Amino acid sequence: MRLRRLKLKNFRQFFGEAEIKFAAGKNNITVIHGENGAGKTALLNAFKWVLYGEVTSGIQLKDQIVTKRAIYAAESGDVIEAFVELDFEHDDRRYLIRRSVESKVGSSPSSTKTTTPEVSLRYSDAGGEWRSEDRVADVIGRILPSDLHGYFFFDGERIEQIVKLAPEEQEQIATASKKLLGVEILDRADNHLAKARKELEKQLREVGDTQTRLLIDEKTALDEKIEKDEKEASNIRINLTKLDAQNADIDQNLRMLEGVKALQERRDQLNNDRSRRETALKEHTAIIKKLLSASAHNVFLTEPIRRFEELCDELRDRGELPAGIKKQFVADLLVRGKCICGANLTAGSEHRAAVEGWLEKAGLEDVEEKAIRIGGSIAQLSHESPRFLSTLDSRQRLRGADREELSRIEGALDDISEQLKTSPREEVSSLEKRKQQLTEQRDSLKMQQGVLLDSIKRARARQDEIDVELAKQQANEERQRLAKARVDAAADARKRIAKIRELMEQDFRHDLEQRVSKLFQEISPTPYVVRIKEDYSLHLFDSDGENALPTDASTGERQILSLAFIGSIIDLTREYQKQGGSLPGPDSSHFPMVMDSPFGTLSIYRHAIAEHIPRLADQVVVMVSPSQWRGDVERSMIGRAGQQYVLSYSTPKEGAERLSTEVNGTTFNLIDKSPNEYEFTEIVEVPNG
Amino acid sequence: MSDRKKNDHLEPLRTASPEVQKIIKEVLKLERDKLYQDRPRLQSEIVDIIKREVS
Repeated sequence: MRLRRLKLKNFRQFFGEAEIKFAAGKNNITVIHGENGAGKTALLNAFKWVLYGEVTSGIQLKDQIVTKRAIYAAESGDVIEAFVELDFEHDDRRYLIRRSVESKVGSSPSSTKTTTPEVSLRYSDAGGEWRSEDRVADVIGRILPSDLHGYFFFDGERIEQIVKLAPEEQEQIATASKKLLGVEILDRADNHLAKARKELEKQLREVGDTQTRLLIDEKTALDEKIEKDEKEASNIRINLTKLDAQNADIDQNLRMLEGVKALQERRDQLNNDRSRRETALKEHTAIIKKLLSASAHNVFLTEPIRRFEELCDELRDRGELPAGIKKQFVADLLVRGKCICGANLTAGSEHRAAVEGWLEKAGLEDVEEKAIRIGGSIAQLSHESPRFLSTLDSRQRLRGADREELSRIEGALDDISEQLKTSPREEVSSLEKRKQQLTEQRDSLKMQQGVLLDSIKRARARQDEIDVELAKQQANEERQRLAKARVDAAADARKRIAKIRELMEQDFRHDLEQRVSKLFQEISPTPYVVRIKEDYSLHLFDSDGENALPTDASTGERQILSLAFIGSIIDLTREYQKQGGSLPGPDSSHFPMVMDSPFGTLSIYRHAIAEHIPRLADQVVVMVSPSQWRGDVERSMIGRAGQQYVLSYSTPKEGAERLSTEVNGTTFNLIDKSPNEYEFTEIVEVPNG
Repeated sequence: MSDRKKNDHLEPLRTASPEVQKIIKEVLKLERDKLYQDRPRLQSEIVDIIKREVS
């Protein structure tokens, strides 16, 4: 989505018509200067209203779209039009969306009646011919789904909330990020292919024999069970995330309390150690499993090896090993008809019979060859068993050490918990008791989750068995064979789509983490490292090492983190789209960043943010007050500012301070006395200097 | 942050049989075109794609 122009008429405090042309290309920043209350947030809402028919929750009286000044200045019976019109490009098309309302003024301003908003959407493709589009919400939803809107049009002063969201909101962020990446398309395809497979199985059932029908019925019943269990497991996952968030809050509260701070920090350290030990234990167990699977048979080879050596000894004792004469040599003598002693080997002669007798004995040549070959392998195998036992022993010792250490850590954690629970300070003991309750709830949920996941796994395994059994069913009939091939194709396509999704998501989260962390480190003077969890929640750690501890972000750091997160998502989805060329995905090649007061609460980081963020998005619209603009921000951005506007606010308030600002050598009013009794804002274009 | 090797996202597609490759591409295109709908019903269209490709 590339913004071209925004046109307003009588929208909120913007009286009359006004227009903003957006900068693009090399100088991609549009700066909108305005004091607090001049209409920056209203402008942000103009985007939301025109695209989705909504305004942000920060705005009261959502239905008051028409500017008060126009209503108060009108006479009874007058009709006032208000609209917002956005001109933009997307996917090689140009779009013009316009949302409008009309207010009919009554005998008094309060009796004014406003119509339901009307929306129109027109587009033109390469031919330049304009057409109307009736499915406005559908088309806009495809270009920029409403739940992604907040990524690109946002209030900078609230942006830090991205870092500290409730679990449900976190889920939304994760979903929205995946939507941009195209994961939603893969999820939907997976879901629809599952339904299509069921439909094809029904058709197979109709043409199949009795056994096939029974197997398909069983598979269908398992499908229903899996669906039910997955739903329950998903609810448990959400509840676990909530419990973890509550637990983290308690830990944070304890960290803030003098006197118990050190205990909590010790607990953080122990939890970190526990997590590392658990990982090590898992790794050691996996290695032992692999070792057992690959080499445990060596232990059972002792007896066969002994028996083989016995047999070879017996052959040697009988003089049959090594074989003295080769079969081929005897056969050649018989063909030549002459023995090595010079005797003629004519048919029926005594000499020939004697030489032919050697053919039997010469057969041992094969045994000799095999004995040598097996003997070599056996010599190897006889060393394997002790080596296997020794490796197994050392791995088991390591696993034992992990278990001992884990038990020690658990003990130390229990001690800390006991100390906190029995603390004479009521606030401390009640926090710890609550923490214990949460832990118990978590354990119980974890158990339920384990049972469900196991049940799902078993059901899926049985479905795989059924598939094998179905494949074995006599598929002689052409119709049955074809129906089965279709079911298999649907299942295969589904499996592969799930794999693509998994690979893509793994990389995306990892790449996003690296990009956000790099950007955060470039902007912030702190050495902190960013980690993004599976639910896309952002966390700061004090270092990149194994012993890294979570650290709390300041307001400024949260703001940087959020901006870095948004900028990185835009940058990365664009990169992924280029890479995944042959997969149909959403058009994420161009997105703007429209930011209201992004430097509001920042101080030392302003310069770095102003420097870095505009490089990530194709187009940046930044709304700033003069105090936020002047200095570092201006120095960093002015070189790339292609368009500038001033929101000139007029107030009827007597004695209000008049303010002005100088942009490109021209002075503009920021706050002025209204010539009448109404407040309003005008949008004034700054001539390029 | 560890330097891990990047995955080859398209490997599952590339190694599929020609008909499954076509099914995947057509299904994803269909999903993309209906992305703006909250709950598109595409089951019968997908069944048709599979029947066309596996015949």
